Amino acid sequence: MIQSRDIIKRLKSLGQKSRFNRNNARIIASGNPGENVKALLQEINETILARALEFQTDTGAKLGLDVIGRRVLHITALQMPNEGETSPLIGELLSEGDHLEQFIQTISLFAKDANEVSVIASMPDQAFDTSAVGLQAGHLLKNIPASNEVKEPAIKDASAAIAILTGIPGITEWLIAKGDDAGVNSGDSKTITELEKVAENTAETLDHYLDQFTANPMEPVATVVGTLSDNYDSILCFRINNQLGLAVAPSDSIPSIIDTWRNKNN
Amino acid sequence: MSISEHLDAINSAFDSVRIAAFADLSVQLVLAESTKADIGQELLDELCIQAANAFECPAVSAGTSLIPPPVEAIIMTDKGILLTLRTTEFSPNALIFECDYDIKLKDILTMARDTLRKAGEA
Repeated sequence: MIQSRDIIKRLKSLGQKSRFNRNNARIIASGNPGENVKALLQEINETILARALEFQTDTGAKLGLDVIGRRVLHITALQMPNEGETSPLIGELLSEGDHLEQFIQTISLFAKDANEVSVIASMPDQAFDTSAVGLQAGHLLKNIPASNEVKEPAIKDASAAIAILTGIPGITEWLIAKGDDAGVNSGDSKTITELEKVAENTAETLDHYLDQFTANPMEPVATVVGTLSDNYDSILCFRINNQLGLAVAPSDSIPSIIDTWRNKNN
Repeated sequence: MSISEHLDAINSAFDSVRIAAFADLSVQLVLAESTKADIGQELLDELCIQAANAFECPAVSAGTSLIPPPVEAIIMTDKGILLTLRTTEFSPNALIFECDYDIKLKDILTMARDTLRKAGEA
């Protein structure tokens, strides 16, 4: 099975930014927000007749603009996924002197994390004031930051337990049973269901079990129980910080588990 | 060879082994040991209790079908590794080793299993 660290390494080698999602359950290869912003401005630059443009990203963000003669007159809507994000510019008649920078920030926010941007152009409900200058697409294109300057969300570090589990070669089926990231798992669904059942029935007793081997609950502790060689599987049970992890440990992964714990204790 | 001689052989074969012991886990009693330094009975008793408890992992005793009945266990803490082996899941006789982290696991398992087999035949 492909492991998270291999996916991240591969994405990095391709020059693709990536990050864990909020609960570390998925790796997300990010789109290029700079390119999306350029594409959005290019659409404005190609809009001559009065149009209401509704942009939408694959992440669920929506942005409404009133455009005429390659110029943006108004932001009519901004909706970001899972956020009550809005823009103070909504409804304002835009001008280069007052709103250029803020407008670019708004469209950068809209394009953040997007891999795809689509647009629907429709006739506006009301006639635009054609005398208004608005923001000219040409000027906007000149003022957007270089694509690599667009602030990308930082790659979130994996929690200690996930870093351990994804860092041990051979371990492919695991579950965080308790603590931060509880419920995050990887592997065959049948095995995960079994691990979840174990976690549900034994979370408290697992803590007491591990307490027997260390005087300090903050000290990392791990056990491997089963048959340690001959291609059998064992169960890895460990606690680090407040996290309790369970994994199926094939015999060839055990030297790496020992190395991992040696590094934790040196 | 007596069990004590087997323990001495393992102890001298591996620099990383600090204590090698043969125990009856059912009564949590060390029956023979070989150590690189003088140690007290209290420490031996504690190792024996920990080895017996290692097999009582709730994740295994909850009746999971993920692994076959456990016969070997490792505990890893800041003190090092405690390795314990028994011939079957019901066997009270066990070997216990307190080792450093650089132990050659495959080699010690081979030697320890051989010792357990011979102890069973005796």
